[in-house]
Amino acid sequence: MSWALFKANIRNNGLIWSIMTCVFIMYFAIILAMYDPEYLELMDQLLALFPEALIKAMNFDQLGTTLFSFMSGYLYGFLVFLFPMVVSVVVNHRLIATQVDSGSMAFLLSTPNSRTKIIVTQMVFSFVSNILMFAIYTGIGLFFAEVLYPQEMAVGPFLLLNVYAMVLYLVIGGIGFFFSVVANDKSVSLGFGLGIPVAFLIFQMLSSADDDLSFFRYLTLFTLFDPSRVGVDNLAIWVRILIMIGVASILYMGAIMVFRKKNLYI
Amino acid sequence: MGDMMIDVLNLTKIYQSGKGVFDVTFSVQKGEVFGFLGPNGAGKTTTIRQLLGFTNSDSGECRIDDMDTRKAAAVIARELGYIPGEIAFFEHMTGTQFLTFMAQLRGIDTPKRREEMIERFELETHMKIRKMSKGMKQKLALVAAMMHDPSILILDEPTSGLDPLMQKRFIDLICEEKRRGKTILMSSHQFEEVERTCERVAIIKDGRIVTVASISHLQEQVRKTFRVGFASEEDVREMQKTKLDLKVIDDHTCLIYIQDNYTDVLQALAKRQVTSMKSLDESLEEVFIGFYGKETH
Repeated sequence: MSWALFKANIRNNGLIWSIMTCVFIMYFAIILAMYDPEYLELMDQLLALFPEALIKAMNFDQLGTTLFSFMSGYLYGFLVFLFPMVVSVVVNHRLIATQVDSGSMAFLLSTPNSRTKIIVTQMVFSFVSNILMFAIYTGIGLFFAEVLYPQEMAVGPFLLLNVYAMVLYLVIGGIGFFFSVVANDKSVSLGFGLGIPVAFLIFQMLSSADDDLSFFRYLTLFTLFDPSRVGVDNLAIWVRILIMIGVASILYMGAIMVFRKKNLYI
Repeated sequence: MGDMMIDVLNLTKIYQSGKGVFDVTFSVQKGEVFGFLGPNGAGKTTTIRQLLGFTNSDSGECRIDDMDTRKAAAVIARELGYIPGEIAFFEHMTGTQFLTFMAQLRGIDTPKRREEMIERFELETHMKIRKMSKGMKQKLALVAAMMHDPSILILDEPTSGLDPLMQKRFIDLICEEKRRGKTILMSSHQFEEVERTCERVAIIKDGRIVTVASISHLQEQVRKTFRVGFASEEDVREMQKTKLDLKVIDDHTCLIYIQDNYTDVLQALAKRQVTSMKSLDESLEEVFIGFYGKETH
């Protein structure tokens, strides 16, 4: 682990990370402000104006009636795939692929730091970026909820939901990190690092949009992420969390092994 | 390996395109400045990449200080300064931030020498790297490679993009480092720079070493050309009958090429009436270019 490189990563990725985190936090505030049991009926009427398949695709059919289920349905049904995804894709792409493609990796590796040390540092940064993001969402989410609707938020399920989403992002980050390492060309890294999660997302939306298309759920890892079951069937959630940690471990370990061995044309 | 510091031993690395380096072998002694010459795409950077441990060879190996450069890259790097052929920085940093970053990565901070290098190359360190000119970036890479005073330098076209004044300062610096006992491997396109700094050179073409020779040996090979004027056409005709290497310019003038056969030439000329004689200098550059052009297959 090289602290100097870690700091350089912060400098390189801090801006986009902060912007995207702030935008998502803004959504927390907006969605929370919209929560009002009296207006929920109105919301249902509004949503009824949209095609049913679209509402289902975005998981907005599972909004429920409690503050927790409302937030989990709105924020963690669809929006969680947007802003954190941008951060994850960009950060993991930059950690290795852009530096190998441009050649700046040559400076890193001409210093007395082994490839293992460099790649482990980048992996730790990839984790920390992800964990910190969801820690902030959890903290701010609970804070906003407590200020606006004291005592209404189910804290336990909300914590589990965020751990669940963070682990989902270990998988998404793992995909980005793996292709960031494997690719010799940065367009390949971005193509797979972004393309695979987006394809997963589209398959997931298709599968929930229409029963005839439900077979798409077998083509996407995001099927493992089902926020509507948090607090309902926690055992199933923990099983899925463990499966996703397994998948993420394979991706990150694979990336480390490849980086130690590969030809770097820098 | 004795006092060999850098060893390239039967190195073969072939790319998918079929290009690469084939059975490349040469050694650089401790304390020697060694030039690595060849046209673009000849395999200089491919060889240097292997010396930095960036790639896996197909066969053969590179050793620095008797350590395998692929396996022991991090250990070797403690005593190594490197300038990449194609320089890409962390563009969002300023010059100062980058130099500090490199010092931290190495765990070696030498502020005095760093300042000395910055002054020497008139580097503007406060600027964002993204905004720097090509020459300024090259100078930054130079300072980054030299500031920790390493004992081995591997420089891939270190003066590309530098103006003549900075090239001269670079040559002075290399001569200084040589006196301080540094081992330097330097690829270059600048013949003057090689001639003034290097003791020996390897010339590579199409991935194969064409020759490894000392600069003084190469200088002996420089073919001298004399432009000789004769009193009559008869003189020129008689000269043509000799086995000398010459070219007739007009009825009274010849170009005579001399390798090491001065006596033969003088004896032949003594029998004729010579009216003028002028030496046309050929530089080492033409020897190099002679090698570049030579077919190796």
